[in-house]
Amino acid sequence: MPSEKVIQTDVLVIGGGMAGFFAAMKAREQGLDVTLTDKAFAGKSGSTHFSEGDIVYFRQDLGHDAKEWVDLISRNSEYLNNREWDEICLLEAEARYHDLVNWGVQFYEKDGKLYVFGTPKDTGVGTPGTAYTMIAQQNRKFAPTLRSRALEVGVRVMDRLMVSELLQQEGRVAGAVGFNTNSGDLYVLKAKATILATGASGLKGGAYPVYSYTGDGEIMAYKAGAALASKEFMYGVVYSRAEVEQRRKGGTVEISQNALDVSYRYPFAVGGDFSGWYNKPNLNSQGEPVVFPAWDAHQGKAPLYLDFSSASGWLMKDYLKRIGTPQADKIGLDIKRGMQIKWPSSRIMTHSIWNGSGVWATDKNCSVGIPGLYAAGNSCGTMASGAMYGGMGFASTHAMVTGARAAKAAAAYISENRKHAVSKEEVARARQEVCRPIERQGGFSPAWVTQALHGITIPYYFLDIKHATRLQAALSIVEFLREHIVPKLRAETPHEWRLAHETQNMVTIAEMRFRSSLFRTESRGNHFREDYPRRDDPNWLAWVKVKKAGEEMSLLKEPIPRAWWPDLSKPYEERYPRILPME
Amino acid sequence: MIETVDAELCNGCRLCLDTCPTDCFRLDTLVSGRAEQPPCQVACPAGTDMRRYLYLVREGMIDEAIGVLEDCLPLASITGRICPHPCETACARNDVDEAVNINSLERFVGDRWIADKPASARLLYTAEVAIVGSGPAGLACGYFLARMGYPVTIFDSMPEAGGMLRYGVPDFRLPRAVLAAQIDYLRAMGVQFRMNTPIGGGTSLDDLAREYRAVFVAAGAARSRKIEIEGRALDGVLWGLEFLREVNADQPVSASGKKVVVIGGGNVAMDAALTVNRLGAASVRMVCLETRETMPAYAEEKQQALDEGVVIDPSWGPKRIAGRDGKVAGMELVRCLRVSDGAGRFAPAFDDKETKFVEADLVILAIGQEADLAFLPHDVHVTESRTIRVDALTLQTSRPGVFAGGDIVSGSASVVEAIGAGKKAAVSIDRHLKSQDIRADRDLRPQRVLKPPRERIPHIPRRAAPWLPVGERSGNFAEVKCGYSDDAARLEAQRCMTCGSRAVIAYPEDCQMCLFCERDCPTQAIYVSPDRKEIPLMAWR
Repeated sequence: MPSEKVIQTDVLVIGGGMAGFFAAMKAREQGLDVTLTDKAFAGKSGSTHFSEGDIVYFRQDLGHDAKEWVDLISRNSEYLNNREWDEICLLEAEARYHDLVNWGVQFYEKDGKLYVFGTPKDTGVGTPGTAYTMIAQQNRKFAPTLRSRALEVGVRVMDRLMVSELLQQEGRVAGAVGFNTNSGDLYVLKAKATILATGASGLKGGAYPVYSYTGDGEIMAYKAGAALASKEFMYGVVYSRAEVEQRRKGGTVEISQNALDVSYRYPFAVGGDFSGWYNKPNLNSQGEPVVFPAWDAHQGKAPLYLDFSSASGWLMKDYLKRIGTPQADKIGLDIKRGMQIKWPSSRIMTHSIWNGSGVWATDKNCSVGIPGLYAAGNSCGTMASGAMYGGMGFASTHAMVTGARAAKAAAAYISENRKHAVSKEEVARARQEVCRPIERQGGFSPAWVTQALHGITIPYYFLDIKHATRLQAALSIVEFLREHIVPKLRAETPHEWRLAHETQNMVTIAEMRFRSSLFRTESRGNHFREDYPRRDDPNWLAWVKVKKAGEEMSLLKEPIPRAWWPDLSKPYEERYPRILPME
Repeated sequence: MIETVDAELCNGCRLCLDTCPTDCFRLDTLVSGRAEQPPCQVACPAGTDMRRYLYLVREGMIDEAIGVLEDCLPLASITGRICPHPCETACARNDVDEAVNINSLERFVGDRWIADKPASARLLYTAEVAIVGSGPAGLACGYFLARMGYPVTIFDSMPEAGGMLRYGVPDFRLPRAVLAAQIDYLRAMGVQFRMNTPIGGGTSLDDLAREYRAVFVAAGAARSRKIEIEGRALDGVLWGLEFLREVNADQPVSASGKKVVVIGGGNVAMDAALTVNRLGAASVRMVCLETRETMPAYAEEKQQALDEGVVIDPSWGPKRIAGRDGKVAGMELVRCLRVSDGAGRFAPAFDDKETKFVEADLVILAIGQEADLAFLPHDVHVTESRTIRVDALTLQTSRPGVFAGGDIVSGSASVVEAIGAGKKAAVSIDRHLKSQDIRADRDLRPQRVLKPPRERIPHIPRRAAPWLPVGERSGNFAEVKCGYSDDAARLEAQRCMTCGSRAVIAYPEDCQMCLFCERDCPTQAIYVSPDRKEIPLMAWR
């Protein structure tokens, strides 16, 4: 039986990435006692490093126009982006940038000035996939800087603490229960307010950076009665040997990561016209559909290669302008001949790093409909990005803005509510729930169950190229796992204890993905159905919400405001310049 | 997928553990089969395994950290307060930013040990052991022998146990309750204390040697070294240790409103000055031969003395004590030019032309301690410097079955040196009683980790232990230095670089090939292969 430690705090922040640190720092600024937990190492885990520190640089004084930028996101997101949240993120981006500066985060400079990059309109340098200007924090240094700053101001940072069950009392959340993945000690974290900053929900597809995202926060909130946002949209990261090798080289080259992103995010079959197909002029294509390479493979064109010689060329040139020739030399790019890196795309991972498809935000304060519980960053379901990724730099900005907002709301909640206690019975219930895998005698290996789950989630024909028959088949298997295998997960070590909870969460996430994918009977953005290959306006200008109804998973259609609809009088091709595979 | 951590290149800095977004690594702080010890452990006279227990503190595994101290460092709640911590001086982190605050962490674990973990010891042997002196050396020896399973009796001439810890160290540095808890802990382990029993009085060392199978003599250096100086018989002249003993035994000592001069620059002089200051002295002036930099008192205490308004008057020697009507009126001082000769021997030189007079009502002379050796039988040999002669490796005296350690062997030294001696003696006595080779495998000088972590270690500021505000210290003996909170301890322990440990790939299947570990590793010890391997797994656990 694990030994039990109790921590009493004002604000519990679960997750040590960008959103978590903003929530923690902002709550601390209000004089609150703040505890931040991370299941790995706060400042290193999650997608914060993956973002490479790019943030949106929105300045009204420089003539930036919020409506124009949001319009770009809308077109890119195929109209399912929450425009109110987008505007909030843009308008608050500058204040959050100043927070970063105040906390000692350094930004790249060029000729002694802040290094700004983005749309051709603003900077003369085109950055594919970006609808607006950006600045970058110094690669890989910014999150550790946030960590040291948080420690300096007295945030209680607890690493290796896997939190897996919320404490609930009279309808409000009063903290959570977790355990240390090394010592195996149980932690009862009693908190007046709890902020989930647990990142996106993925399925451990096998490539960086998805292993951390097992929907831990989302599932905790879902079990407590909160709704989750659109789980049918996929985002792919391709794993390849070449990508790993390039990242290894990237270790010594600053700013190289952004260039390398190009090389591994845009796989296509030999001879395909990359820019002609995926990038329409003036279209932000950062969230390139994972379905294209999958579709190519499906057509028998695999293995896939990245071959810049067949691309029209502007892409590389723009990148090289941005990173400069010396940098290009360092990472082995030949400017004259173009980049000739060929690699097989062995697996396309389906998961979500999706700012907006987390726990459904019921207001603009990042509340999730349960008193005392808030969500921030990728785990906050703002739908700030719609059916596709909003654009580079947006996820970090969204994380900062929602983190700060959640902290403010949590502080107000604490001062307005006197009741924060939690009963012994509730602690005992949560404890039992958390400890089940480690206290079981005999059962299934979590890693094995994850492998089993991968069999019906990783192959492209389930979640990339979707069809009702296959979704239904996969759903049957997931239901079986949920009913018969998950309750018998067994952990022998504290490490495996974490895996058991992650596996449990992933099975539920997978079920949500299959159900939501079946529910949305159209194709849009990164949701592609062979049996419904086109967008269906106006039936599906709507979000999908997943909510627990008794023991059942229920799906709700939440229409977007009519004012956000595209002009339906225009032809389909104008509304949707990006084509889908069967179009 | 993570493939290798090169054991030769890995310096144990643990950055890979702190950079892994999943949970691939574990740290082996035991590193069995490797002789090199971290610099802190090499520097510690008691050989404390800091690396191991600090890592456990950092992981929040306090019970396990206590377990490590149980094996290697008794009395941690005491050393955690008053140890001069040579470990910190040696700490490899000094080359990165500042030493880890090992002393405060030791106190943290030591206090938790005494508070949370019940004492236990199983009696395994019938061979009884006597220990003379209940100071740190005696207590440590008693602890280890009791832990091994021997019945132990500690004899002491004073009414309460602790020796110098009880009657030398003032309460504001080591509260009596802390010491009492440690003594009670030993009692609970089965150690017997025979107080008010001076050896050499009714009971002789010969008696003990007859009645017990082994004897450990740790009677300390418990009296002040006296010097001939004009005026030493005047009313108002006190000797450092005796003064402290009286105060610590709650005898009335009148110092209120007096101008006090303390002669000496060591820790006893410092304790005497800070004590008399608390008794309401009008002024306290410390006069020492050494310069401010070279005076032997610990730096932290020098700072404390200055904070509390004690005047330190360095590079002066006492010439005479002036009196009026049989009472002290002042002191004449003479400029000290140097303290020792070129060979490092104590040989002070003075400039007789430069003298000064300071007024005083009370003079405390604290110029050294010495051992009382009168109780020793002739067959226990002593040295020229009036200490017991022992074999340095085993602490065996010239008389078989009689061992000696602590100040009575080393001359006045630190608490941790005494504890180290007690520990060493316990090993010797155990082997002696079992007729094992008492010398085997003991002459190994521990080898220091050659290349401790240094490059690319992120800087983290050291957490100083909080101190009682100066304004709250006068007129009372409340403890001046405070302990760490749970959080502070965990965070300071994160600064330990666990020098010489080994990172172990414990869960390779967790690897997502982010390469953070490989790219952050300061010694390029890690290789992550770009290939993913599917590991065939058992379905059942």
